[in-house]
Amino acid sequence: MPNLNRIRAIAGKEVYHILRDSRTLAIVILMPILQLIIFGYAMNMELQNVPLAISDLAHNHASRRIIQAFEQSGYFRIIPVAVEDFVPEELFRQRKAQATLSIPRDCGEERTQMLLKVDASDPNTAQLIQNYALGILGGGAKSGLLDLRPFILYNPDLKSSFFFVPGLIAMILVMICALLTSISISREKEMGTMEQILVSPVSALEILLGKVIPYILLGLLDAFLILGVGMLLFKVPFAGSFVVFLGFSFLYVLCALCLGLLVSTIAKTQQAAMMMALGITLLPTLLLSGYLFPIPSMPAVLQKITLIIPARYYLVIIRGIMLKGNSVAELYQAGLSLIVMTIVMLIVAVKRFKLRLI
Amino acid sequence: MIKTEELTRKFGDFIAVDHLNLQIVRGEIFGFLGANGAGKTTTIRMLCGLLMPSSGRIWVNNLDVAKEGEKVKKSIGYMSQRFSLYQDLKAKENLEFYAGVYATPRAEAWENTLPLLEQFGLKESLNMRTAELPMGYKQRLSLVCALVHNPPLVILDEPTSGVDPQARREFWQVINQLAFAGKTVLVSTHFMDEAEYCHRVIIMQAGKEVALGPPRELKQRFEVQNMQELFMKVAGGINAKLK
Amino acid sequence: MKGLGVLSTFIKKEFRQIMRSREMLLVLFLLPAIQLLVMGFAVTNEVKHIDISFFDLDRSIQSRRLMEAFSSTDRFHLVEVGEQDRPELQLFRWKSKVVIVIPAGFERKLAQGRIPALQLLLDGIDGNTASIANAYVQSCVKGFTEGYLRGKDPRRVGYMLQGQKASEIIIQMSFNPDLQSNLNIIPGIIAVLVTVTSMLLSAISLVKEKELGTLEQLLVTPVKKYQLLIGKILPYLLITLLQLQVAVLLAGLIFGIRVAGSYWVLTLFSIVYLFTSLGFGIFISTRVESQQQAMFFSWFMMVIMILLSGFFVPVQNMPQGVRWVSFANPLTHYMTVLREIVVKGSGLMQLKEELLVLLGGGMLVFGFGILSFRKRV
Repeated sequence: MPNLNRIRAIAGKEVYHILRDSRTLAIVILMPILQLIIFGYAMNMELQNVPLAISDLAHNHASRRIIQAFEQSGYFRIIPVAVEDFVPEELFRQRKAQATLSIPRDCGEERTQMLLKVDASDPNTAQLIQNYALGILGGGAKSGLLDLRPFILYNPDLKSSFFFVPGLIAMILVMICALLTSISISREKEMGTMEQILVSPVSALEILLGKVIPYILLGLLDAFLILGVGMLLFKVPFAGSFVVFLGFSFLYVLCALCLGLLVSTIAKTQQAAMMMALGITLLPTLLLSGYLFPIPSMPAVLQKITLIIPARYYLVIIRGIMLKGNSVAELYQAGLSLIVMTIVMLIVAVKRFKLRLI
Repeated sequence: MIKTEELTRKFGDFIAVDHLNLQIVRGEIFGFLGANGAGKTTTIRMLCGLLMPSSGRIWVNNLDVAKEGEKVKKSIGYMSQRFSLYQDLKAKENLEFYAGVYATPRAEAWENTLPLLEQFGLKESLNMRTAELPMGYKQRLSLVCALVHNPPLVILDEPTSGVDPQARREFWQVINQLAFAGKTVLVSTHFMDEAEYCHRVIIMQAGKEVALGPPRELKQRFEVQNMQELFMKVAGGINAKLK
Repeated sequence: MKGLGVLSTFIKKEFRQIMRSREMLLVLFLLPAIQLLVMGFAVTNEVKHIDISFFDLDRSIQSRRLMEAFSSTDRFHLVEVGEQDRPELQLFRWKSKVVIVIPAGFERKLAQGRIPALQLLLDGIDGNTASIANAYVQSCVKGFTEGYLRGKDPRRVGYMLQGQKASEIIIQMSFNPDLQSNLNIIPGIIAVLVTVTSMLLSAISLVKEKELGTLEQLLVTPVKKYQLLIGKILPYLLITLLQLQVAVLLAGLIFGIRVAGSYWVLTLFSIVYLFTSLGFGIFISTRVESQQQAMFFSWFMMVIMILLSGFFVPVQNMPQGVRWVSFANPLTHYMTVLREIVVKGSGLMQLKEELLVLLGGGMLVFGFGILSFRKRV
């Protein structure tokens, strides 16, 4: 039976460690908020002020109308270029223009050809420029044949903060619960203080609980902070039940802790723990969980790898609860995956932990 | 060789070293005695130019440390109480590194260190990684590294803590040899038996000098049998209270 | 000349330490290679295999042909729907991201020239994917109508519909005609890798020696500040440059991306940039107490630098205030330079402004790093 006083002693010591290191604490708390603000304000896919160079050989009514249409669109900024300097590739290289439009002498007559060149070194932007330009030139080709009515559910204005707030929570929980715990355990090993604790009459369970509880609290505090900022500043909704959210989050935190534990049984030094934690917690959570990049677009091998990344499941859960109002019925599969992973990691970690002590 | 004038160092409100006046001559083995926190290491760090004094002045080799600290460093060999060689380099590579740092030509560096390496039985272990050396050997290697540029002044901050008695005796033999060869040696220690080997000692307490002189003279003056008793008599009172 | 000897001593020592630590080598070469691979494949703006389901209430030849227009591309992945399924629930239950409802009488209305209404439901949680999916749907529907109308050449991109006088618009995508997103992403990843390695290495450098106690030993030696710092930085500079070569090589071998411009210009810019990032690391290293803090600080800085560098989102899209911050971010300039050289083959002439900014910033940061390092405890 774990002794509450002992757990409290260890947890208290850990809290001191966390509070004393005020710089790390500041980073842990400030980083997600700052990220949230950057994501919320700066990550804007809408293009503005695309520099466009136009070579107008016609100089007639029709060509002026086209130029005017571009000027008034709000998407483009027309930059003056002398005739002899109108070399599209060179303008692109000097980054003076991102698109060029050549209007031929016979503009306004039947079947003339205009040439739009786009700097496609950033293909995404190039695609957008093409769409805007075609829209302005009336080439949107709305076939009057079908009436297509799009309805966008759950995030009708396509706000990026709706997408990032849940993702950041998933990220921060892994960072604190897996990264910080594994570092703090390996630090004790490195400095020999773990040995000191192990010779005292404390059981392994008590040590683990004592070490882990402060980090769980810190992680949850951080998560609520992000949630609060997201809801207040960016009006992110919370459609589902808070209790369900807490329940699933607890599962996820457990899973992250087991991951951290596993890392600390493998890594010998703090530095190794940091590198490993970085390699197997932070980067995969950032890149392979569906946080920033959709999983179905990845190559098959990577898609398989994403199956063992806890954040993948938690992202479905948290986005489902917050944005769609999902409940247990829709999310139990993701929850089960988290449970299975937790159990497997715990078994491996405990086995390795024992091996080390004998 | 070393002269300090009203040397003082404060850390906030805490006075670590309090108006210390010292004069140490060439070829002397000078011991710093005192409990932990008495100000030994702080004084030594100031002598090396690692810490700036809050007030007071220091001359090493007639050079003002505050003004010509970098020049002073050339004439000092320093061994800190923490083991501070690169564990992942080989013993030989550590030596070469410090020879390079002091810009001592390789041949000269070998000349300076070879006799010591032989005496210490380190010559066979030169190709071992420093991390693999036993503690006693690491300590010896530290000393050799501190001597690689043949400095006239050797400063040893608790060099023998954590070393077995046999090794400690050998270590002191070498210190004697160094003094005999004309080097000035500054040693801090809390082993009172080691104090007997020093030509002169200073006993510090709370940053102040409480006794200064040759061990024999001090024993006579305070009417005690050995250094241990002396220490308890002059510095023990407060120490006991602290406990 | 003596100074040079001291310097080479430091460099030799630093190299020995790095080469001897297996973990370090792993971190320096294997980890970046894996990152390049994983990121190269995972970080993409292309959206593929979007789960789509159809509720076909018409069950006619034309409705089937409409669905075929979607199943023939790898942009969509068709999800079967059962009798019990309902359109909104498909989204609610994460079964698909896009749902199209084809109404009964679709084929009949089409034939009669009346306009049938298609209902399109999109899951808006991932706004980016949703808007791209929307565009894809539009183009698939367009493909279907063009096929239905036949007559016209479906490959033409657009028609001038204003008035009767149709003029054709020819669109050319310069430098990247197939709109490969890798071409943009991979140079970005390389810039990120170079930053991460150089900053982490230098941020840990001094504080590690502080933790181990070897720094104190160095400080009592007559070694000069600049010798100590350059002795630390030069090996890191060389190692990071080597890493850069490996990354460029891998980019060519695996992703088929070759440097269009001059290799030497690229190296020159990298050296200039590395002074900034290494100086930054050194500055961090002088200001922290432990390796752990150094790691956290540099992570913090790097995340901000990467987010505001234009790696994911072009700087020009950001609000004015953020753009200024972004201009002060050296990674922004280095990323631009790498992309310009790799993709467009730009040379020094086109990049002289960036060179000046990077040089100035490098000297500033590096000088600051050196000044903030005191040869005292």
